[in-house]
Amino acid sequence: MLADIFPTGWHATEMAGVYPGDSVVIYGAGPVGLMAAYSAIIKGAGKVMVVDRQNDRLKLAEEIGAIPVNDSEVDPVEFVKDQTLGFGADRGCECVGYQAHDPGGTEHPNMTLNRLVDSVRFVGGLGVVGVFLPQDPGGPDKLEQQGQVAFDYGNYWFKGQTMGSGQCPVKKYNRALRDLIAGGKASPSFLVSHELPLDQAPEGYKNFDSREDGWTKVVLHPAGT
Amino acid sequence: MKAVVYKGPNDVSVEEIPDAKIEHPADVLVRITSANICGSDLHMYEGRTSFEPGRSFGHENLGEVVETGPAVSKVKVGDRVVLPFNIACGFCKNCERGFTNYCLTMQPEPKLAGAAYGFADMGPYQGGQAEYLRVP
Ligand SMILES: [Zn+2]
Ligand SMILES: [Zn+2]
Repeated sequence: MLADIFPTGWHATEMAGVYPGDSVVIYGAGPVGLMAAYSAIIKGAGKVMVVDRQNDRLKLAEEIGAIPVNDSEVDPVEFVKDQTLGFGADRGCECVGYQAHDPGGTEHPNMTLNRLVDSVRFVGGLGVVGVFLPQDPGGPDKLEQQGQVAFDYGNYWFKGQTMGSGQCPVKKYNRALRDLIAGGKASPSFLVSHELPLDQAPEGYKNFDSREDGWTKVVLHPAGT
Repeated sequence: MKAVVYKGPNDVSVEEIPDAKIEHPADVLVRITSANICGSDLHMYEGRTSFEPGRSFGHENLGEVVETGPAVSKVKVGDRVVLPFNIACGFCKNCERGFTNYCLTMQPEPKLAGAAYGFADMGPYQGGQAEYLRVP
């Protein structure tokens, strides 16, 4: 967990500027989204909302104390505004990336980014750790193929938001997060669903990739368990 | 040694590849005990990146140090280690400012920055979903 996802989730909340009491919306309840929610909770956020549509993942979000938001059932932007007196959340994290898609499976690379801007309040902070790429030849349209995204910049500018983006500098956080674990204050392994020998990696990839129910995080053990 | 090898879109297999070994005096060789599959592996697995077939995946790695290069002083054989997915030098302009995610030394392509194990466009490094890993 300390090699990537816990520090990356923490980094998303750092870039968003999560402060005790804040309301926080997180797009994506994959491993990084769940770690961002967990990090926000550890930092004392007042309310954490996690948007996804996989029930196994939303259940984990609920178990750590976040509010699950199923975007195949409700409009997540409206939900977040309802939860925040109409203002929008103080902070938002994007933990999905360029392969964001609607419940029908069609990719919209700008979907989570624009929802993020829309559901975070004026002068709110955004942390984007979902992956976006300079080129995406397999992308759904010409814009995306050139690494461009139809981003609601006008809304973003108008609201005076700030955004941090990119991969996580793991060494900035991993010593502190290790000590949180060692001190019994964090157990990020709650999301591990499968521990497999190396030989079963193809099965792990297949199930994790197709978001099979209950496959939330796969750990391979090349040296045996 | 055995490793998870990317064959093409939606196709990985566990195959024999050349053993990981010390290639630089500051390298460490780690026997991998745990290597997670990550969502970013899935972008590569689905063929939606420039990741080259024949390379191995794995950037969330834990293990035991089995060999150290002659320039390594702190890490000892037998240490249990968790490896940041970023590969970084610690002394370039970006590393000195804390941005080990955009290291300029370990990324061989001058137009890019940042390196990682088994990752598209992040240098030639093999992944840790394997029996052993070279840690630069
Ligand atoms: Zn990862
Ligand atoms: Zn560096």
